[in-house]
Amino acid sequence: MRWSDLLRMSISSLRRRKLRTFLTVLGVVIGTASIVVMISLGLGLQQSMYEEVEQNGGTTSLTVTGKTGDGMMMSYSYGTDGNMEEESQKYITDEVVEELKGLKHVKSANPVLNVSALALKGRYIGYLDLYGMTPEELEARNIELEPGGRLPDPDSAELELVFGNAVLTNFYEESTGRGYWETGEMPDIDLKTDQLFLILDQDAYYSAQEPVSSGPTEGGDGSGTEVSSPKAPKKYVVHACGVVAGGMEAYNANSYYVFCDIDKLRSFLQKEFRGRAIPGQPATRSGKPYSQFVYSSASVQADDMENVEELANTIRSMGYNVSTNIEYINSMKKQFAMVQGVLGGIGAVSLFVAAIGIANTMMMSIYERTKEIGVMKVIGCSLRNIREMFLLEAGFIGFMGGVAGNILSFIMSAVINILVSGESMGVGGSLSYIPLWLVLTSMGFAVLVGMAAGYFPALRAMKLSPLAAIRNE
Amino acid sequence: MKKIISVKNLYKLYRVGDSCVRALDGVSFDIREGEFCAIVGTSGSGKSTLLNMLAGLEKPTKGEIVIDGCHIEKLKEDELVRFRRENVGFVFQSFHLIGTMNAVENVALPLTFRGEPRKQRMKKAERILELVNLTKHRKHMPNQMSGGQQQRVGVARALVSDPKIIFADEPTGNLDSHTSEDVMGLMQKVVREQGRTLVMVTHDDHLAEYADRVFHIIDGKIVKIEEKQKRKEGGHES
Ligand SMILES: Nc1ncnc2c1ncn2[C@@H]1O[C@H](COP(=O)(O)OP(=O)(O)OP(=O)(O)O)[C@@H](O)[C@H]1O
Ligand SMILES: [Mg+2]
Repeated sequence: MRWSDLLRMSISSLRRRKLRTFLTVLGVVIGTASIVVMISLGLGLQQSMYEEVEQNGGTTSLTVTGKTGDGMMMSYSYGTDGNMEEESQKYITDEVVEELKGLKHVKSANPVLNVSALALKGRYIGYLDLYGMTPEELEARNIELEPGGRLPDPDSAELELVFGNAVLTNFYEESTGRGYWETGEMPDIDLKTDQLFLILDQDAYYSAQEPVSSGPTEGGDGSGTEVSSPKAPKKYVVHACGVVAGGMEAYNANSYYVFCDIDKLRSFLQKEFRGRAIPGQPATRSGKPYSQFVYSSASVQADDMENVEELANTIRSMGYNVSTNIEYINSMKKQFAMVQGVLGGIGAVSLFVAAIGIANTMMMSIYERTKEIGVMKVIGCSLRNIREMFLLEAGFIGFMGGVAGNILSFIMSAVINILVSGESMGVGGSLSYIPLWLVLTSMGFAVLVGMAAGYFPALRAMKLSPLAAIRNE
Repeated sequence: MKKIISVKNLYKLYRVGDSCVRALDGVSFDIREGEFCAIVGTSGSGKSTLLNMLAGLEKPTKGEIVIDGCHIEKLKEDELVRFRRENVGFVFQSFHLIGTMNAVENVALPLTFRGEPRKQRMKKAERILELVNLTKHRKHMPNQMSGGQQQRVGVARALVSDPKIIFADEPTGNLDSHTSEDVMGLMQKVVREQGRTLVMVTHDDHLAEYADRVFHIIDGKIVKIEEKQKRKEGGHES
């Protein structure tokens, strides 16, 4: 028999019992839809996790930090001299960054310098979490800027800054000490256009401020401090070359940071703290600055996600601290596999119920058509064709259910996403995510379930005695 | 003349409870190619059992059936189906048309099982329907036709695949005597014209008159084989 004829006969027998076919298909629709929606929820969670990881440097990035032999060690090791001390501690210096670049599986290695600074603007004062990075590193971070913005130019004479979109929430009114979190009002500053004063030496700023604020109450003491206080720190005029896109409310990985060029920041720091120890820079016990400039961390990109673990171990064996996203991702992956297993299992139960429905329908259909099947056998329909006819019928029920179930899933998924995005802010992406492979596998699965459910009824039809079929009236 | 069916010492026993029913009790006969044979006997004499065994629908307890050089009793079920598909046409007492198909589709069904393309089999089916004078009813569903018309569709279905042998178990059992004559006349005409072998079961002696040879069967034994010489000669002359 030809496939087209088999298909035609199967479809015509399904059409003969429209309501029954519809109800059976409905069971498959519900089963498929529940599996797809459940898994899509799991996938949506996973997707948003990956997006978050991607914003935090992605799956291939490693953050290498120095190891300062812990405080206890230092205090007890008074017998050792300065040299020993320097060796027991690992700092991220230019040399180290070069060394990291030379390692296997390393795509790039860049130093990162993180200092905190103060910014002044009118009556507002704010803390900045300043990150100095190389131009390549900034490029690699894929920061999305508001239109018109650009990344800091390393050749500019000024210190150009890229502000995170939520940096302003860290500003407060100097006189009242109240900021965004207290008043709920954004400071009246336009980061894109306004110029700010940047103060790198916070200690000096505060000690210079102190007498002014505490002066009236404690006169004598105040004047004493004023005399001994160092001169007020230099205020650098800076302006933004870019602001992270997203507006004040939206959170992303860059929201609270301020980025600038690392070499510029370094030279500004060295100028500001000439002859003194720069805060955050290690000092020898005598209080002298360390011989080389030390960065806060180094950002290393591995060439592939698979090699991250190996690379991290190599760097650790060199004596540095390494943090990667991979452990986090691995543990999340395990969790998601479990969540998806549970959710998918719930769906699978309903598809299983649908499979019973299909088997039942096929059984009924075979009982009804006993005579017909017998006659077909007598006039020469091969056993294989009979089996195929019924398998095809069952598979077709599964297929229709799979298609309709997927359509229903897309609708449900859209509804879920709309409802959820209306309620919760902050969670980027969608809660329910249906990739193409899920559509195809669920469809295939529905057909398979249909065929499996129809298998035994089909065998039964095949084995029906033609004689019994034609004899009874 | 070539023997197309040859039956030797055929036994069929049915075990019902403790007792044993001998439905066929040592039957032997030959049927020649192009012959119209009738099997006649009272109810319960074993006519249907014999016919079903010839058609390979039932396995004999003992004995052998050779059709066209092929031992039917040794074939497996799927081989039997293929054998029927290629060599046998079947006419049923209660027509057994497929209720969801119209007349042409019903007639074309054996060709569908053979995998013939749709156009070709429809053409053949239409031609056979013309032969049984049902061209007008070719789009009718079985429940839109009279018993006689349905049986003519049944005959057409048995003929469409050019089988060597046609089996008919009381083809007129559900028809009135006038319609029976019609259908019998049609079958006789077609079989003679096309030179096919027809084996028909009936309990009506009058209908057996159409046959070339009549096997009389009583309690599972063939008691008499009657030759209708003049009809046979007439058939061969035409
Ligand atoms: N499946 C069976 N089990 C037991 N006995 C059977 C079976 N089939 C037929 N018989 C018996 O075999 C005998 C012959 O039956 P068969 O159907 O061949 O009769 P028949 O000649 O066709 O009669 P009718 O003219 O009424 O159709 C009967 O006695 C019947 O009871
Ligand atoms: Mg009978």
